[in-house]
Amino acid sequence: MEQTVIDGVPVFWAQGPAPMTATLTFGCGTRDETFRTIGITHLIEHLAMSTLPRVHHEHNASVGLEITQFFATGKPAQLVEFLDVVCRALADLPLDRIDKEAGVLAAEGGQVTHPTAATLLARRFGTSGYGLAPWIGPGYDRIPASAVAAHAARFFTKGNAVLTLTGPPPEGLRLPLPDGPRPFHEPQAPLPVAGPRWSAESVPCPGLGMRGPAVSAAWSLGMQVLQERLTTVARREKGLSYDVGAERADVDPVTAERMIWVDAREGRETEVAEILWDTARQLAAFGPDQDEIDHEVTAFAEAIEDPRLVDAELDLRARAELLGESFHTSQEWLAELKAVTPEQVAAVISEGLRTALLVVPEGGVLELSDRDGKRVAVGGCARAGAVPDGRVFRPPLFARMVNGSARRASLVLTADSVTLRDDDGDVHMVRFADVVGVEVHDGARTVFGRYGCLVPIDPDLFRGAGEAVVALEAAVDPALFYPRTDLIG
Amino acid sequence: MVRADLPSHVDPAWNDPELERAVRALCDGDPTPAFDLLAATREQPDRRELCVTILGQAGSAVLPLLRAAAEEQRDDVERLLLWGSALDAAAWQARGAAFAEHTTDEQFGQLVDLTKQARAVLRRAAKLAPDDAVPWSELMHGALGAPEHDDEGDEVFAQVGRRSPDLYGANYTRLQSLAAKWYGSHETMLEFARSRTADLPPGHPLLALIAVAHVEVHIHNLDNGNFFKRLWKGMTYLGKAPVRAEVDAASDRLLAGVDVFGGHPRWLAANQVFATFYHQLGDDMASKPSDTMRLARHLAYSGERPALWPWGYFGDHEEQFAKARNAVAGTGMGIG
Repeated sequence: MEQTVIDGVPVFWAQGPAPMTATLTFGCGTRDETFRTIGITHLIEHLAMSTLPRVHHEHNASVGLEITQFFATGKPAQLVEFLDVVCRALADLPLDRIDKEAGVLAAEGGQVTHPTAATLLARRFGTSGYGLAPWIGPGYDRIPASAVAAHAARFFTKGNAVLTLTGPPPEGLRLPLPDGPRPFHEPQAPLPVAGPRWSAESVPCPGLGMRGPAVSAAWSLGMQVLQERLTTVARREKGLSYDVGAERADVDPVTAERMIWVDAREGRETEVAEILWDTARQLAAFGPDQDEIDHEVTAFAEAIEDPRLVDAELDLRARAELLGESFHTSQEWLAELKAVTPEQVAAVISEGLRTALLVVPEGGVLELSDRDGKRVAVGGCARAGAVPDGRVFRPPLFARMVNGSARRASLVLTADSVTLRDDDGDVHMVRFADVVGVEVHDGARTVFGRYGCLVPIDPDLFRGAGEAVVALEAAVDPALFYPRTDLIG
Repeated sequence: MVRADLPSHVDPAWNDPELERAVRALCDGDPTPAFDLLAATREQPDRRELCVTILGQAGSAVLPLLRAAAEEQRDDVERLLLWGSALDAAAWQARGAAFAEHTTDEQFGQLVDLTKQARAVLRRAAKLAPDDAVPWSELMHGALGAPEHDDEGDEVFAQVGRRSPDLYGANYTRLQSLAAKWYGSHETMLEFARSRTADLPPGHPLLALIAVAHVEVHIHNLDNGNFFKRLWKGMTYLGKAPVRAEVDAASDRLLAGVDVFGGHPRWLAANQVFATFYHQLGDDMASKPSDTMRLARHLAYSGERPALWPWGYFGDHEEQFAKARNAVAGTGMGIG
């Protein structure tokens, strides 16, 4: 792998099969957004790509949890032009196109990761950073142009970019990005939730999230084996599932969140969740068989013989440069995989299960035990134990007379919080200091909290709740308020 | 002489000083004596089965310790056996002792999930020690409470049969699985008890299967039908001539073999089963003086500590045991 610098941007390249691929990577992903600016990175990517002239070669862009990439495959001159246009656009975004691109994005409906993985991240981190993944937020049309410009100026700079090429840098290549330092990504602490926990969520299929070391051949191999075993049991043996997927989020240079999900036939989601849990638990108890390890090592050894893999290796190099992740060449990684023992895999999965979050689609109920035989507790949003003392607002009398849910629900306002007791009796409290966004819709406000709860303050639902609206507006940063998006019907 | 204060979830109806020490050490957080004892029982399947079950009951309170120990040496059969047995015991404790209709979904859920863990651990032990019947015997518990599939009980019991067909615990569990309250009927259960005991030598503890089977029918009668039916059946079943004759015959056979089987690990437990039968018969309309005599003889071989079952069917097991002992105390047929 070769290295150079062009216009202040580090460039890594290695010879791959033609045609050449160029990838401009920025150390900016959805984790760098806030609830108020959810989607801003994707909007910037669209604004930049919208300036491209009509081209015939393969090109695209993507936004991930930690990075954003602009990439193209074609003749050297085509790549030079692509990169030049993208860089110039990032330096001077066409902000007047925000409305149009917001509509395009709403139509695209893209997600940064699988919705089950996204929910697992939200339960791990709350409504910030990685935890924003499943949220729509205020909507692309509610992101202020000034915020777009500021976000681009902070993250889409020379200092936060790396170019990778599957061939030598083409003649005339320029990267006219604005100057700027590489931003520091504050490591994100998980919510203080003792695992393992399970919760029923708005997810399409069961999933499992575990925390562990970022760089660990045993972990990687263990997750591969887990995927393979789940495919064997849930798909081949029981016919309950079609696909098993996995994803990781590199929370910081030493910690990763690993997620795995198993889709399920309708009505069999709980059974699949139990299989997921039991399979992971067995792997933690006994580790993989040597045959399973050998299979994974062989598969990797064969994969890296493919010359197209050079692109993936370059991606890892770019990430290492931008995010401080450790970089291993394919051969180095192969050597590490070969050295993995069943005991090491068992140990890392076992440790991971201590932090496990398990989600099942809504309506599912799980009765599981951890590896020490202790019942796995219910997780989910950070419900409070009791309703605090404060001013209580109830649904109107007529509603309470005719509707059982209305009789059970109440809203409680205190000096520093607003609390919903919902019709299930669950208590959702949001302290004003923990508010991450407030949607304004006529006289109502929907308050989104840092720990995953949301509280509707609606005078139509709760008689006299206008008083709570006033208190909320007095206590919470006005910048967090936004009108309901026009992009969702 | 052993101390009488074992934890309440540990069945104390046995007399084995080494097991006593191992149980107490395990309860105090030291599993080493348990592992050593189990290693010493590899050629003693009856004792090994008892030890694994009892240590498993004790171990259910220290599951993290047993898990860690098993993870230290993943191919150590004794560690796996103890961990698996403890998970099994925890599963049944989570379920509770009530009949199925009084068991909550939550309790069943925990039973099923803990059984899955136990099954995986015990199967590994079975794989590592292919001649050992005890992993299979322990697997009987999961196959009873939360079977993986309909035939699991049959399959697992067949595995026991190939290795050590006369294991007391495995046969006791098998009989339970054939009872009407589980997956069988009175007829199937009684037939099993008769066929399993037909060729046993005098004194073999498995003769207790006959008494257990009739106690199970009695319990079923007490719990099913309208009030008067339950009352009448409850008062008369044990004293019916065929029942009495069958149990008396089994009792005679057991007592006749004390010289040979008096040291069997399950000798105390078997005698307590007969003692339960005859104690219950004492409340029956057809009770006879000879029943008291039999009760006294079986109690004499029952040791000092009451088994959790079948005494527990009729109330607190310690109270029932004490009542039975009191019933013979003034008769001149005293204990010992």
